Amino acid sequence: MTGFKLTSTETLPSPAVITCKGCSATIHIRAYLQTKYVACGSCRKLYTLTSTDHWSTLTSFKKTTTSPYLPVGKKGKLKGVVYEVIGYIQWKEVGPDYYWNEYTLFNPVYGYAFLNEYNGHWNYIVPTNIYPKVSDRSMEFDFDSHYYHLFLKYRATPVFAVGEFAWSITDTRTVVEEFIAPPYLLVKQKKTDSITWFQGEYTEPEQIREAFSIKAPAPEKIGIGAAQPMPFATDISSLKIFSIVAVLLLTIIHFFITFNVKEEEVFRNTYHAPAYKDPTPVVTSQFTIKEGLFSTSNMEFYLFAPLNDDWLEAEVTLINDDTGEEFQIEIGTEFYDGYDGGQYWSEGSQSSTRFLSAIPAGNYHLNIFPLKGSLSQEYNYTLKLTRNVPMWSNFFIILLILGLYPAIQWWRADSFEKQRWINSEYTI
Amino acid sequence: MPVSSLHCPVCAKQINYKTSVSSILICPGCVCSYQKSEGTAQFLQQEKAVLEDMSPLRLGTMGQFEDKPFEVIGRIQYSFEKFYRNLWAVLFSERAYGWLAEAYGDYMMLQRKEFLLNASVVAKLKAGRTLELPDNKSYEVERVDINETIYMEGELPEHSKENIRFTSVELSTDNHQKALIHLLAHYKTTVYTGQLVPFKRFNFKHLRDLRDWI
Repeated sequence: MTGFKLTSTETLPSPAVITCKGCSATIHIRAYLQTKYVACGSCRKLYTLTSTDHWSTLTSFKKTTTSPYLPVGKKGKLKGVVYEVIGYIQWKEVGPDYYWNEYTLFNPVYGYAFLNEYNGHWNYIVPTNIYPKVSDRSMEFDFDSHYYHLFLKYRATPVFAVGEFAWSITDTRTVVEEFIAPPYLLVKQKKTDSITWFQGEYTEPEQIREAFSIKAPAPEKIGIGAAQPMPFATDISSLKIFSIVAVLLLTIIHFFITFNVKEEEVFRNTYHAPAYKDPTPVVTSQFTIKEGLFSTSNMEFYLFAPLNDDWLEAEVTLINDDTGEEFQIEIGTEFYDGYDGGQYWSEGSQSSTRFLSAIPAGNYHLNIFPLKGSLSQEYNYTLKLTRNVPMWSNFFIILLILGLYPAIQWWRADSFEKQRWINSEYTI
Repeated sequence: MPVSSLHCPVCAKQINYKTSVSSILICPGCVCSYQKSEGTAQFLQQEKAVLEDMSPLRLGTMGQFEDKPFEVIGRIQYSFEKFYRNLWAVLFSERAYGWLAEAYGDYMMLQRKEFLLNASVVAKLKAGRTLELPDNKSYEVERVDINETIYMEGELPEHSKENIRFTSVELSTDNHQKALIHLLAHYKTTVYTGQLVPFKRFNFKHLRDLRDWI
């Protein structure tokens, strides 16, 4: 736009003030020569300005209830740059009924930036000279360490505008392509005579509200934004690699232990449980648990009693004769069976196992205090201790835990992405 | 840099200049252009005074490019149909000229190149097309625009003698190299090549007062 003399080279001037040719409202021009179009918020007309005296009406916007959340003329510091809001456009996609808001931000040193708001989701966008050299038909590409997917391709028309603009906003032939790699996006704007790339980043509304000192709450978020990152997200590909490595490591460790640490029976004895008497407490003779690959080992206690409709319990204390350290365990078995309506049934088992972990090597003996149910039965019961028993259950529990987090994250990411891509005619 | 001066033959205003060699001077008073040669000034034509465009730069701004200090000594301000651009003439200490192109917060340090281009090829360029320049680099066309007005100030290494209405083509390479081609009358072209430089890397001094904006 022509017409504003350079009055001082010392300082940057305040906005120029002109009077709207349509309604005599006051219009501020912040970017001076850079501004080519002016939209009067009062008479809702969009003008092209070739000079302060040459106004050509481009279009008249319909009456609207829309009012910009960020007022034109408001200054704020966003992403480390002081910006003034110099323009607002409510856009509508050519064809479908999609509406969104765009704010033009200006800084004399760093140029222009834009804030786009759709359904309460904001993107901060700046023109960039660093962009991917891709063909017009590219729908996905790797750029700057991020993988971008085409999310939207559209043409747009302004429904309402106010403020000043450096570029034409009425050219509905302009094709816009938005590529996303949340929280980042790249926007390609192709006109007949220019191609401009913009890079953007999803920005929380609170950040914008604070930057421009807006008291009113920002428009409520609806759905998932195009470039919105998933809250508490984990990078799925990194998680996949981590999970595979963790499972492999776990499997290797488990098999290493299984094949290198030999299972070894360290004690076995059979005792008599007489009828009509409580079994006698037993103090066993000494037995040795030898040093193994590791300083300690697990210990399986196995109790077998050929009982029927009866129970046997034993309080077993494993005593280290070298250190006096005691390890206590209760182990029991019960078994019932019979016929009911001609059908055989049984409950319980004649044997049971319990485990103790981290039993050090040394000389040991056992104190066994058995108790039995029915006094009329007589049988022999056996107690066996085995160390270094492979714990497959532990292996599978850890495997499950390892798989649980990636599975939850994958499910969350999948649901989140499905919600996001509802707004796109393309698929990931 | 030492300052010399002469008086405008038209308005008698003092015109300061810093180049010892032949150059174009624009009178700050009446905005007439003169061809300076050995202390004399030959009238060229009436120019248009530069307009306010919120540029942070001005005549006298000093900076550095690749560790070489320079001073801004002149400006050509282009107003295109859809775009605008400042070409600031900068003088390096070793008396070499450069052009600092500025538009919408982008800054490019350019050198004028004596490339012979096929004007009919340039005339057919459209956004997205590629062009190989004699520097053996492949450039992609970013923008094609028509200039409408030229404004000038200060001291310029040469008079562009461009018709006011000409086609400007802006191009770029994969690695941020830039080129500007002005397609002039009679199939002549003016070519500038160079690179994008972030504002902060120039370490500018004597800018306009930016207190509210930085």
